[in-house]
Amino acid sequence: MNTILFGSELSASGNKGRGIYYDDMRVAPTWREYRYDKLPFMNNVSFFFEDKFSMPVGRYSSLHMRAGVRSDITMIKDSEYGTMVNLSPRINVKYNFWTNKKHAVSDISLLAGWGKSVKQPSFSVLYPAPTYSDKLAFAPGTSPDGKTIYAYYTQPTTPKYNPELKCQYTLQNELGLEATILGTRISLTAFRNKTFNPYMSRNIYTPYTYKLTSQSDIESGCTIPMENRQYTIDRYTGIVTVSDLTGRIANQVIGYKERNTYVSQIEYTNGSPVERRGMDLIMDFPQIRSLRTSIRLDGNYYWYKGLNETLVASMGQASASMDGTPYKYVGYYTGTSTASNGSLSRQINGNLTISTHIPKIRMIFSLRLETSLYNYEQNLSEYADGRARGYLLEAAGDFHGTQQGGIYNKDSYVAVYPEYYTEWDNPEEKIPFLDKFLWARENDRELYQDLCKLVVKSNTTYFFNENRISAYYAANFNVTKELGKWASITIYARNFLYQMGKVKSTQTGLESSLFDSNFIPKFYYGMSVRIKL
Amino acid sequence: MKKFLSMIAAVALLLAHTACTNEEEDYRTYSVAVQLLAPEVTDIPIEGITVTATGQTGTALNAITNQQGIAEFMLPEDIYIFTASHKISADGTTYTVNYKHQQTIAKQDFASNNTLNISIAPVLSKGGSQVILKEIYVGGCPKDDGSGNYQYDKYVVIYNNSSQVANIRNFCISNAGPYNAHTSINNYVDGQLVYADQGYTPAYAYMFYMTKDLVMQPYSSATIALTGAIDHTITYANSVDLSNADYVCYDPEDFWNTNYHPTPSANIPSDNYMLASKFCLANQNATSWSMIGPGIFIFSTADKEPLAYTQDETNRHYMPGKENNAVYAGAKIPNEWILDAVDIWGADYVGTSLPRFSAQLESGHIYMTNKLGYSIYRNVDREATEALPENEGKLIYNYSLGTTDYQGAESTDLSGIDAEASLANGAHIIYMDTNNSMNDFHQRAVASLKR
Repeated sequence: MNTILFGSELSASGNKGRGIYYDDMRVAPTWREYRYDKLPFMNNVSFFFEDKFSMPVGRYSSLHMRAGVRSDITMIKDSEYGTMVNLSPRINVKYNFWTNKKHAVSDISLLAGWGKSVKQPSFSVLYPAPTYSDKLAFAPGTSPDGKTIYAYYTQPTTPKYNPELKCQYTLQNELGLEATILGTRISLTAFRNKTFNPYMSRNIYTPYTYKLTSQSDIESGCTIPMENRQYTIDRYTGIVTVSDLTGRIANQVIGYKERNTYVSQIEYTNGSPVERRGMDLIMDFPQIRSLRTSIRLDGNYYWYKGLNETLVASMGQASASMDGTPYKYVGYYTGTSTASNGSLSRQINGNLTISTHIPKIRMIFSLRLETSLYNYEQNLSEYADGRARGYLLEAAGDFHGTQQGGIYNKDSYVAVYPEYYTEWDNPEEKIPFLDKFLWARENDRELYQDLCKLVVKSNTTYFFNENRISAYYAANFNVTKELGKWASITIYARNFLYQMGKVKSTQTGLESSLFDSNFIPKFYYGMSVRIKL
Repeated sequence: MKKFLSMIAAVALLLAHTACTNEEEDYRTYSVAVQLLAPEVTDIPIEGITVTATGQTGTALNAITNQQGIAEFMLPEDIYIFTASHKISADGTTYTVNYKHQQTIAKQDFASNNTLNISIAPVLSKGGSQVILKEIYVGGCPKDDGSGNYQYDKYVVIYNNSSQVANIRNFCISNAGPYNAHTSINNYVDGQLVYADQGYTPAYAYMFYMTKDLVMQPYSSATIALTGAIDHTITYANSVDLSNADYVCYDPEDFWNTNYHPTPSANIPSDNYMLASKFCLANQNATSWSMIGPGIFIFSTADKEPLAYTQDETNRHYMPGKENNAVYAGAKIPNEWILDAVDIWGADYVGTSLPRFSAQLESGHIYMTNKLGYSIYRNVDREATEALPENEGKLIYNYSLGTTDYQGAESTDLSGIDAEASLANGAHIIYMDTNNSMNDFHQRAVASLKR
């Protein structure tokens, strides 16, 4: 039997609202209007095709296949990225060896699947909103009647168009077995999903200079009495001129200081691949007729690893250089400008559900025990080839350490250096950080202090310890009473044993209570009524 | 019948006795003997010194030490901070001797009506500072229309508490972390202040420094506007006029929020602007002097350049568990640089507040009720002030601007001298400086700059 399905979808989404606005602009002097109703709509056209067929193989067996492909086309008027087109194919195959045989194994089938799902960039990537950088350029002293003026050097920026931006996609592989053995229904599925080109944003720092005219410049360069002053600032050069309202004194051009700093701009780009693997098991045991009770055992194993090696720029948290001028260095880090550039986690969870149905009183009792048998997490700081990215420090205040013996499970602070850095006056020259940092320690104390601000460290000594959380459980209970044909009422209690146990973290060595924790649901109970129409 | 009545009477007596015992248990007090140990620099007896026991509820009880230096208390169950402070002179040097000890008084420690003996070691600091914090106004005031409170008008007043001209290089002001004394993320590990014995105090998030020497004539004051050196009374009548402040913390390249930091009044010369050294998040656009309970201190970096010293990453301090997190960053200020420190606890958060200074700098704290226009004002050292011959006929008494602070306790200057009125009358005031704000400060009903 062969079934073919094809079709298309057309959708458009937009916002006809005004966006954020203020009734009283005095409370939001730097706010700029961004009207949603002036933005173009995001238009999507999708085409899909699917072929589903089944065919017998021999006397007992059969083959089932479902294959399809979907194409999504996204269009936003005036988007620099133009029209985005992609294809997402998938195929699932199931081979039934036999069904309903009167054997110990009455049903058995194998499943396999492969698919590629593409995720389009969001509207904010394809049609980015502007942001504004405002630097105070002129602020004369407040007059006795409380009046003052502020002038800003303003630069609007939008996230930088990245012609190299690729669509994020995930390759999904699945292999499964379904069987009924001695009346027990068993489903075992393994999967491996790898996401390529995940979307991420990073900053680009562009040097610029603006003029800052302060009260000290006015004090040293203006002889016009304060009450007769009229200030003007050239909107292109930033130069301030004071005029005498009485006309007795000629215009006076005020001095200024030049400030060299950066404007930050976002660029959307693609990160390194992340991978998820796992296995799901479901076992439905046959009902124990004498007790009218059925038992389900299910569980899963989950594995995740992400390690980002995309180069990102950061100025850290420094606001000033050692000479008092705006901070003039930009560091370039592997993955992130934090101590960790990835993580590894593994989990095994198991659940037991016991349901008893008593038709005579039309009630169902259900008890579900949820357990976490294995819960492992590890922050990572390394390159894809396994080399350590960080340095083990002897003390929190150190800036130099060692990579010998690795950085994990050492109960020590870890420092991470940028790969290289650039200076304000030569942003194109990428200077290897560590070499210069070591040199500056001996030869240029001021540079050394400035470069220290680009060193990032772990917040705690245990940050890179592996974190195994000891096993824990919680139990839920439901009682359902059927009321005639059309209604049922359920009384439920989550975490009804009011779990007050403790779990231990190997990362910190500390025990913490499950009570009011994120590990299990809080104790609560309630009632629901279901009406069938 | 008689026997029956006797039995009833006996039962009634027994019940009455039981009730009485319970009542006694509820209000039972326990004998506590606090011995102040003598400092090594002198053998002067520790007699006649007032020891204060302050409970978690803010209740304070006093007792005087006897010839053996022992003060005896009868206290109900609670957690108490015992403090005492006095001055001694030895070998030509004057010392402030402070005592501080926290002790839980619990029933199980008094099984047989015994007395709990506590010995407290002294903490010595040399003399009083020449320049001190005289007044701190950070709590804000009610808006005119009653719609809330106004808090952009914070200031401190520093004072030359001596008869010599003060000439201080690299004068700085900052706050200890956390901003509020009660904040749960703080500098405590296992109940101990992590830098208590390290010889430094972190200036938290930022500090402001003068670009010229601070020169103060004897017994003179100088106002430092922490935020908004403008006349706030133009907008809010309950506020203060800071347009004539002597100095202002103003560095718009680091803190550019014009609500907190409008351009200072043109009356203030720009070389009186105190500039910022910032180690908090780069995008923090305003200072965060707490309006609830700040720990404010003034210091001098002496021959070290303040910006270079505090920007030096090797002088950085982070709150425990927050290493490398700029939100919790501070600069280590050696305690010997610190001229004065005041630990203010919000009156609504006393039970959860913790000291932010080592006992050497500040062995107490002062409660503040905010939003009402109150200020924290230093008490007058009556004995020393009256001893100045030039004050003859210039001192004004009957000070009446005290308030009630935490749980209705009186907070006033017990000297009775109205310091501001006396200063205006030409008197020279010597303020208390025992490094214990419980003794040294009170909560003043009206900020002194409020005219």
